Amino acid sequence: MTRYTDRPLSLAVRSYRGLLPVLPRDFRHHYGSDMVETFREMVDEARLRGGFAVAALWLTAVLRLLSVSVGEHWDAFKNNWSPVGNESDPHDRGGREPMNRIFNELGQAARSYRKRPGFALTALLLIAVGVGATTTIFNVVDGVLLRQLPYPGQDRLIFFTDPSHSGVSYRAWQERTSAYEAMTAVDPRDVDLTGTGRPERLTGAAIDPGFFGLFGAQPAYGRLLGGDDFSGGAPVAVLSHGFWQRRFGGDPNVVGSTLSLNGAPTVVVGILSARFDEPEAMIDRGTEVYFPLEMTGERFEHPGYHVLRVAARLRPDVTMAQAQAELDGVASAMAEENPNYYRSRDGNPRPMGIVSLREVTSQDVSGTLLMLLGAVGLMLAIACANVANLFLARGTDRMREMAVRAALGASRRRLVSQLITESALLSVIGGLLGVGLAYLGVRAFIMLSPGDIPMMHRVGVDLRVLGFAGGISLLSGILFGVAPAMRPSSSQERMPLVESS
Amino acid sequence: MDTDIHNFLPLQPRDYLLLFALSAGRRHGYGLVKDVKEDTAGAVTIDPANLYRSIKRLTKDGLVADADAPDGATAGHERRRYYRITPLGKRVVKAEAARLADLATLARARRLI
Repeated sequence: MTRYTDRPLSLAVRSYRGLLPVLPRDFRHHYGSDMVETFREMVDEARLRGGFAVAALWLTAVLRLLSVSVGEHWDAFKNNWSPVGNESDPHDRGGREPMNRIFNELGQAARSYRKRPGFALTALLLIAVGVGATTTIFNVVDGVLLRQLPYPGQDRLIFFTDPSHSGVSYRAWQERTSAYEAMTAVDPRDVDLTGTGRPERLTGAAIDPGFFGLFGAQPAYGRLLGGDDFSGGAPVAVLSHGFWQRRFGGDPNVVGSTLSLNGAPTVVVGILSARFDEPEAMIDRGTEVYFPLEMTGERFEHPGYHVLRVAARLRPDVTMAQAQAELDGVASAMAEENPNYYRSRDGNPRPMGIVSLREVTSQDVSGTLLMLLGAVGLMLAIACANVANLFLARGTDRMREMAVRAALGASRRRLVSQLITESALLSVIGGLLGVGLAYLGVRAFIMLSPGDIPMMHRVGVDLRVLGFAGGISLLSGILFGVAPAMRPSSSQERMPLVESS
Repeated sequence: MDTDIHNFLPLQPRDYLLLFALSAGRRHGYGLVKDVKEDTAGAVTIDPANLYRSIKRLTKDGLVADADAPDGATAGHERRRYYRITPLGKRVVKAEAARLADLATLARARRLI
């Protein structure tokens, strides 16, 4: 784009120029630089009248740029699609071709809104805020509650309740239950990285041999922890992809090198795949280093040390209730064998429980999120009701116009379809604005969220969410459009014409 | 042909104002914005997007055409595009002015203004 002067452009002009890509390419190439130049001179002139004048000028120009862009895209589309290219004859109102009729109706709708921009803007704002808020919260709900956990057999993954358990309990579950096809335990432990480079405290996890398999982890380089690593040989570790990138810049030669972890030389045997999503019920988000859990010593052989978090995958043929019944049996047996630790004060066996991993991952927030979703859903309903009211009020205003058009031969169907087109146009534009708002809203939500909402990192605007937004805007369009549209088709349509003649 | 002219009538207010401004001589975009503002005593400010959308349409209809920059144009503005009214455009704007004048006469006769 050519510029005419070397003077730096003001923010107002630069942002205006930044919006030019919304115009069709032909139009932009032909007139873009002249538009910017004209706008620059208008801004210069407005500046003499103060900052407020510049702001008002900018706002008007931007809004009109957007509406012109819609019009220009529309013309381009119409010229490509219309069988007769009706632009050449300004008095061709179409009517026979269904495509032309839709264009005509949309054109009429746009004109009727242009006549009363206040109405259109208010309605758009209501729809956009309603759709935007609902979509934002749906987005979060979708990411946190609805999407599946990214693990194999995720619907059968369970977590042993109580945050942590002793090595004795874990061994008992492994030996005495048959409801699970895999079980694993972790002991989350931070470690100190010393030696070359800046010393660092790393978020770590001591894991047992089943951990990576249960959660479907794959290595990006090297290998994961295997059988021999757990039998007390030389210390080894697997690094998370994020830590490997951050600390070593993604150097594959780190595999096989030796790091000093807690003062012990430890061989890095592998790097986890970037796709691995830490199970947040088991280990901290952002865990950086994984090493073998060696279940020896008092820490794991005394029933009083509760250090392990335990998860398992149910066999496909076993229900939660069956698994829980089996666990109750184990609890009773343990209470008999070791009453000091496995019997409560009231004499009953200490309960052992399981809960689905999905539930434990989102349990703290699901209530709040669903309540929020309900609240914004109600807000959307109220927005729809308000817009419907606006339409009803406008419908009363327009009865005369409708009566005239009916008298001139417009069929009822045509009138109703015109009204529905008008509301559909508003709801689609409002929906688009709403998606824009939701996009900003989600980012704000992520930024403002306290950081303890699980799986927040998976929240983002995607096709499902866009589908949801499209669905609710269309639905709201039907809600606020159809009811008022029914009115002119009733027999009252003649009244205003008679009254006014 | 007169029939040609009547296809363009009535003109949209913005088109009328632009043709009216161009009937005084060639103008560039900002010149048109300024003229329209002055002609309407500040009531109408055309934004750049609508200005060039109108120019595009008027050019396509043959009422307006590109023009050379006047000799006195400053060097920094040499690439700025100028527009002029075509003979057809002149006839259309005259016809529209006459139509508006007739309407005004009618309104006066009824003492509306």
